[in-house]
Amino acid sequence: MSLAKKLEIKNLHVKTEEKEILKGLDLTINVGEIHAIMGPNGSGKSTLANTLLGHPNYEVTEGDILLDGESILEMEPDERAKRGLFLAFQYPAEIPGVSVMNFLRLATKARVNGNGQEMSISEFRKLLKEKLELLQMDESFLNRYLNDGFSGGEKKRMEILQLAVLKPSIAILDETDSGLDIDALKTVAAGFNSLVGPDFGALVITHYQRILNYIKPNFVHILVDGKIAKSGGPELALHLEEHGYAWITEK
Amino acid sequence: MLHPPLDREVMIKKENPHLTRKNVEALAEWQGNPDWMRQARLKYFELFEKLPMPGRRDEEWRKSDISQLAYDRYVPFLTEEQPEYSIDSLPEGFQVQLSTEEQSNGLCIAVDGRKTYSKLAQQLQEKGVIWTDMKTAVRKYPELVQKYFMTSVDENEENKFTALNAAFWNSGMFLYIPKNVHLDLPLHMINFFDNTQLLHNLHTLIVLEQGASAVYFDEFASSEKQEQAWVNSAVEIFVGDGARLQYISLQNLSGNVYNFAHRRARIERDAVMNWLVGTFGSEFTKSTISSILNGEGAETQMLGIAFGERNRFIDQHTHQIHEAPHTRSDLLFKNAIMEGGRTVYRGVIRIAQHAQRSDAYQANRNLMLGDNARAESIPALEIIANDVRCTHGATVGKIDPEQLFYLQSRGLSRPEAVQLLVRGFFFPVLQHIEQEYISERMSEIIEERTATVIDKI
Ligand SMILES: Nc1ncnc2c1ncn2[C@@H]1O[C@H](COP(=O)(O)OP(=O)(O)OP(=O)(O)O)[C@@H](O)[C@H]1O
Ligand SMILES: [Mg+2]
Repeated sequence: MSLAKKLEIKNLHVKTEEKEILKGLDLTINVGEIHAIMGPNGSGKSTLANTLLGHPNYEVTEGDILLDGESILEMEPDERAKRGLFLAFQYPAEIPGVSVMNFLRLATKARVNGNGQEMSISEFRKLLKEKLELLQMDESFLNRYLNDGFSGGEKKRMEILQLAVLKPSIAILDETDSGLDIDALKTVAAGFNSLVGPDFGALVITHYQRILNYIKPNFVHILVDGKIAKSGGPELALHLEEHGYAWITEK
Repeated sequence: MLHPPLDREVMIKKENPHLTRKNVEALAEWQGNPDWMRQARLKYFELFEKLPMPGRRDEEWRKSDISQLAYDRYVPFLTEEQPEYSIDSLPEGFQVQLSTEEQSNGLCIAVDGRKTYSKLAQQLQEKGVIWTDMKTAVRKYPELVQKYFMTSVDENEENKFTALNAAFWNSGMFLYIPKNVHLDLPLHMINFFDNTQLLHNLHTLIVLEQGASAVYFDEFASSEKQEQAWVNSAVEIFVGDGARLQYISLQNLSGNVYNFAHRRARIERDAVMNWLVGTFGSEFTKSTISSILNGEGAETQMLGIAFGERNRFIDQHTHQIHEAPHTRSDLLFKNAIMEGGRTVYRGVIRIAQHAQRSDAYQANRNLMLGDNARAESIPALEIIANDVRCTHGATVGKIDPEQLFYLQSRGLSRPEAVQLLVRGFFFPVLQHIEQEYISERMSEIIEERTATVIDKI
C-alpha cells in the first residue's frame, strides 16, 4: 500500500458533546505543500487535528475527509496512520510501562506491514541513533517510558522524533512550537525540515509567527469559529502577528 | 425462593470418603515415611478433622464460593501403576523450556508429582546444596526436614486446607542452601498436572541458611480437560540471617483447575524475601502469601500480577507480618480483569507492638478490561506499634482512551494497542525479574492470554 498523496477536507462539520465546533471547513493538502493554520484559542484547531486521525470523541456530522479521493471517515485511527497520516499532539499522552524503544519498534513494524521490508534490529537502531542526533536527544530516552515524566519540551521533541522515524506522507503538527525555547524550536524545526520534500505534506497548527521563520509554509489559513476565514501566503502570518484576529472577524 | 440462613453455612456439605486416618497411614507407609513424619501427618489429620469447613461468613472465605469444588471425588494418592511420563509427552511450551536449561542452576519437571526430569549443577551439589523431592528428602535428610516442616506459622493459624495438605502431602520439593552459598542462576521447577482424580497436595520446603542467596522459579501448568482438577499446594520458606531469596511463581493452569495455594516465608535478621507471583490461569484460585518478618532489619518485597479471565475467579490474600523492629515490607499487586472475570484482593498488614520503626507499604491496582469485570480490594490493618510508617491504597481504572488513541494514531491496531497497555500496566512488576528467559516466559503468557480475549475490549 503506498502512502497518500492528497488529503481533502470537504465541508467538514464536527461536534463533540452536543456542541458543533467545526462548521463547514474546506482544505486540501497535497504532498509537497506545507500549510499553516492559525486561529484564536478554542476556534477548533485541535478538533480538526484529532478528527483527521479519527478520535472517537469527535463526531463528523456533515462533509467528508478523503485520502487520495477515498473517504476515511469509517477507518480506525491505525488504518489512517497506515495510509500515511500522522499527528504530532498538542498534549501527547503519557504511557507508563512502555519504553520508547519498544513503542517505536512496534510502531515502525505496524507502518512497514504491507508497505515493504521489515527493518532488522541493527538497521532500526541505526535509524534511531541518527534521528536522536538530529533532534539532539540523549539515547537514554529510548529506555524511558513513553512521555512519562517528560518535560513539555521533551514531549514535543519526542513527537518530532516519531515523525522522523515513521516518515508519514502527511503530517499534522498541533502547536508543536508552543512551550519550546528558541534553541529547541530550531532543533525541532530542523527535524521537521529534514522531511520536507516532494513526498511530504504538512499542516502546521500554530499561534506564533516565529516558527514560520524556520518552517516555511506555502499557504497560511486562518481558522475562526470552526471555518477557514481567510487563506493566503506567508505574508498573512506577518499581518496577523501585527494586527491580531479582530480585523478578520469584523469584516 | 428464599435464601437459606447464611450463618455458618458451610460451602461444602459432602464428606470425602478417602480422607481418612487409615489413608494417612497408608500414604505414609506407601511413601516409606519414618515414624516422625507419620506422626506429623496424623497430628495434622486430627487438626483437619477438627477444623470446620469454611462457611460463607468466615472472613477469609466470604468472597470465595467453593461450593462447586468436587470435594468428595478426590483421592490423596493413586494406588494403580501410572503411565510413565516422558518429557516428550509434555506440551510444546515445555520443550522450549528445556532449551533454557543452561540459564538455570537446576531444572526439575514433575508430572502429577512424579519427577520426570531433574538436574542440579554439579558444583552446587559439592557445596552441599540439596534439591530433591520431599519424599526423598524425608528419607535422606530427616533432621533437616523435621526441623522445618510445618513450623513456618503457629499451629493455631492453620486452616482446613493447610491441615489437609500437611496430613496428605503427596509431592513437592525440598531445597536446602547451606550458609553463604550463592546460586548465581535460578532453580527452575515445573509442576505439571494431568490427573483429575488425584488431590495434588504439593508441599515444598525451602531453607536458606545464613547469608545464602537464590532465585526459585516455580511454574504450574496442566492439561486442558473437561473434568475438574484440584491443586492444594503449600510452600514454606525459611530465610536465615542475612540470606536473600527471590521466589517467582507462574501459574498458568487450565480452566478446569481449582487451585489453592498457601505460601509463607519466615524472614530472619537482615534477610530479604522477594515474592513475584504471576497468576494467569485456573478456574478458581485462592492464594495466600505471607511474609513474616521475624528478625530485626528483615525486608520483604511482595509483587503480584494476575489476569482474571471471563468466568474465572482469583482471590488473593497477602499478609505483611512485622514481628521485629526496623522491618520493611513493600507490596504491589496488579490485576487486569476481563469482561466477566472477577478478582478479590485482601491485604493484611500487622505490625506488632515491639516492631517499632517499621515500614509497610501496600498497593493494589486493578485494570478493568471489560464493563462487566469485578475487582474488590480489602485492606486490613492491625497496627499496634506507634512509631511506624504504613501506607496502603487501592485503585480501579480502565484503559485510558487517550492512550489508546495515541497508540492507534501511530499505526498500532486496537488489539495491539490494548496489549501494549496491559503489558505496560504489568511492567512495573515484571521489571523486577532479572533473568530474561523468565520475564520473557511471563510476557509470552500475558500476550497469549490477552490475545485470546482482546477483541472483546
Ligand atoms: N472533548 C471535548 N469535550 C468538550 N468540548 C470540547 C472537547 N474538545 C474540544 N472542545 C471544545 O471545542 C472548542 C474547540 O477546541 P479546540 O481544542 O479544537 O481548540 P483549539 O483551536 O485547538 O484551541 P487552542 O488554541 O487553545 O489549542 C473549545 O471550546 C473546546 O472547549
Ligand atoms: Mg489546540
